[in-house]
Amino acid sequence: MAPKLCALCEKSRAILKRPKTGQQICKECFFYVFETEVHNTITQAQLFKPGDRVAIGASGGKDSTVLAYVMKTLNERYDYGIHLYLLSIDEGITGYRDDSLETVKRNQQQYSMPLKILSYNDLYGWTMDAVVAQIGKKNNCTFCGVFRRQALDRGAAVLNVDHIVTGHNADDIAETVLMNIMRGDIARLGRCTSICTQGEDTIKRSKPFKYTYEKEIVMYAYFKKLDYFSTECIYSPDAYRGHARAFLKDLEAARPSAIIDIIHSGEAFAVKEEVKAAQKAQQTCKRCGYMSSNELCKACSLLEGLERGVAAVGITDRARKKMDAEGPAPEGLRTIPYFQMPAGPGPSTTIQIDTS
Amino acid sequence: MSCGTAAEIQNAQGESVLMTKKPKYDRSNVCVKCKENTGNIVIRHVVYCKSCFDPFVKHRFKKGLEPFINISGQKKAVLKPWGNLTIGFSGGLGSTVLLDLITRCYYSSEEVDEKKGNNPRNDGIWKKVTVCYVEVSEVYSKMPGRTAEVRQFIQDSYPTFEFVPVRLSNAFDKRWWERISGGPLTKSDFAMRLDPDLAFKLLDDSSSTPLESLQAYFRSLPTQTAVHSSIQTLIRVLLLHIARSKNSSHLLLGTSLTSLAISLISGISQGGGYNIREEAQEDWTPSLTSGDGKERAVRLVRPLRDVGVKECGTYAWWRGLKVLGKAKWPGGRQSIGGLTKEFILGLEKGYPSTVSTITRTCAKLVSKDELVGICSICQRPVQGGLDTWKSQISIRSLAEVTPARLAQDPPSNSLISLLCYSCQGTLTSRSSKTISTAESEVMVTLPVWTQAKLVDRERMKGEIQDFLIDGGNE
Ligand SMILES: [Zn+2]
Ligand SMILES: [Zn+2]
Ligand SMILES: [Zn+2]
Ligand SMILES: [Zn+2]
Repeated sequence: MAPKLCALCEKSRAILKRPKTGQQICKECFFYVFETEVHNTITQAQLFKPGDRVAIGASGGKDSTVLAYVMKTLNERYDYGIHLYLLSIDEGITGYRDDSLETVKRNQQQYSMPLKILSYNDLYGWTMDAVVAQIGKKNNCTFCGVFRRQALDRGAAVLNVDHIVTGHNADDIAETVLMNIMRGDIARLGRCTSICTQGEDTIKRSKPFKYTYEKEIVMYAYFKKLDYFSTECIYSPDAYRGHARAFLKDLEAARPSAIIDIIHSGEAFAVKEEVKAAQKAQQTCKRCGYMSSNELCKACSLLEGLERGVAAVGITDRARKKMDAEGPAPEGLRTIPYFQMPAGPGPSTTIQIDTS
Repeated sequence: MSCGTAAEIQNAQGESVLMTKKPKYDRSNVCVKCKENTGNIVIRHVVYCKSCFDPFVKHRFKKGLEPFINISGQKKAVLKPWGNLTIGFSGGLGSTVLLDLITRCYYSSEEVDEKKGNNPRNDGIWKKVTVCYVEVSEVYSKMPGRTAEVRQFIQDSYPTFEFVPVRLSNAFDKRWWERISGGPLTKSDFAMRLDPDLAFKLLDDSSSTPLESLQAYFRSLPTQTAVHSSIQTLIRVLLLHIARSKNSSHLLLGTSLTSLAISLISGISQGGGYNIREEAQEDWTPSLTSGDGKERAVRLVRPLRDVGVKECGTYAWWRGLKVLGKAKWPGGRQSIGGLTKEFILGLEKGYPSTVSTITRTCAKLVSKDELVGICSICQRPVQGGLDTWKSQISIRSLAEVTPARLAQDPPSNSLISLLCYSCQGTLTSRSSKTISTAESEVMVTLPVWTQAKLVDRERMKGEIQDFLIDGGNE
């Protein structure tokens, strides 16, 4: 049988079948469409303007490693004129994060981007290992997620950047759409498909891989021989999300367009105005200054629970009430340092960058 | 659909027919309504006794139906639909319970006892009731037809209702289309090729029978998902046309809470987010311009959308209803619909409130973008800007990348611009196993309503022909 020609250039031999379109194409065309689709996403949403300082949330995993590589490539190819930084969060998970941070440090060398590492231990006084030792493996993902979100914003403030880009891919977003519907989280459902989110008091965040299939990210890393850390977190995700993820994989196997179709669905609907009006307004946490829908933000609630040994606080309202009934937070309770938005664009101030 | 028999179900004597499992209720096992009797069924952690369960189901059923009987703006005190009633009957649990509730609440003397005086409702709210069954066995070669069995059942149990059988192949049957006075058709057939552009043309020779057309249509669909979705769509649109031909103001389906949650998730997974509201309830008028414009909408309502499959099963059991059972379609495990059903039913065991959370969340959503028309196949709203969106997120040809190509519309003989996102996916989205480039050269005949739409467009184009430049490519 004659070798099959690439469906795009019709010149080279096809060596892969694109999960997203089913087309059989050559390696060069794959690189080209992969990068150009990300570029389309970026330009369509007008994510950047020249001079922007942009931090890439880097975990050492495949998504953020490929993101750093592609961002650097596109910035040079299309002359975005943006300054790129790597921002890593060290959750304090022995055997998982300490190894993956080595990958990030290599990326820093390869892509010559400044790197900042912030640890949960520095920010909150707790590593995830210590959290799990106290609360067990149930709900530990809630802690980790809440802590990471704040940690990225705090790191961005340290780096004085305008914008954080994360490696969330199409599979992640499709999974989140399904999860939010099944959990009835209407507020998140309304915003989870936006490529870019920015509140008044938060740093702009966006997801350039919003339409990029996880499988294609792996393919890209494989063909570009990119160096990434591929171990899953040793603390397994909660069961409910695990069900949703397995379901999505089944859907993708039945019809690969399912992932993009779910995102398309999520973009096509909006939350009714009257429902939106009833939602809680955002305020700032009275203790740490971070945005919050209650007096205390999620991180401060979780932290107070940890410090006072009532772990479920911040997860259920019942536990919160129980702790409140025990009296106010004791004097000398360890709290998170006060959060302030970066000064905004301007002449870059001298900041401490880890160069190790 | 299975009857959803749960451990709590008891027989008419109140004895448990199945092994008892560990309690699933929160506090006590006393009925939450009367606070006297020991409960017989647990519904999402709440306990009901047998005598309180019946009014509970009736209440939910009426709440899901009566607010939608009058045209909006009319006062609600008197239920006054503008036309007749059509009920879609599949033989399954939901539609069996639906028929029983319709009869009990609006066509029997039972309600009068509960209320004072001579209730005018006793005459029935709708003058005429039609029960319509759609035979799907034609799609599968080895599946036996059940029309005769269903006819017998309806005639025995509901003698005052008219029974109307429909076959899935009626969707390709011009004589049937004429009988129900659909839109204009030409002598030969419009057919499409299942390529990415879905090019259509008028066939020179149209000699195939409706059954052959139906089978060719289903043979050329690219996935199991497409087969199942197309069956569901054809059933729904056939029922809507029957309802219209019977001058019905309402078409009722026996979709339970559980089934609705499944179809919402399955619809979303096939890109139908724009039509999330229609999945629960919709008002439909034929989309042809040649109508007299005074046609009133048929309203499709699912009155059991707040009654779970388990409650339906218990209701049917205690009422002693005979459930024929719905035809099972092969290949479910490989379709998005089948996978979703398995997923949701599995989840419901561990997380019993999941299905109601899904339907309540979806009820809080509205469609975001502008509506540009009605889909020529599924008859639901089409969202604008689909072409641009698609070409931006996945590049399928190197020429597409230039801005000029992005702005260009598909060729005028492409069906794409007349279809919603989901129907486009149904006809063009392939599985990872199909060989992608070997595009089918076969032309498949389109459903009669899609053909009528094309004839209608050709007629419009003819009227403005003299003013078009370059053949009038849009
Ligand atoms: Zn090529
Ligand atoms: Zn706080
Ligand atoms: Zn009772
Ligand atoms: Zn459609």
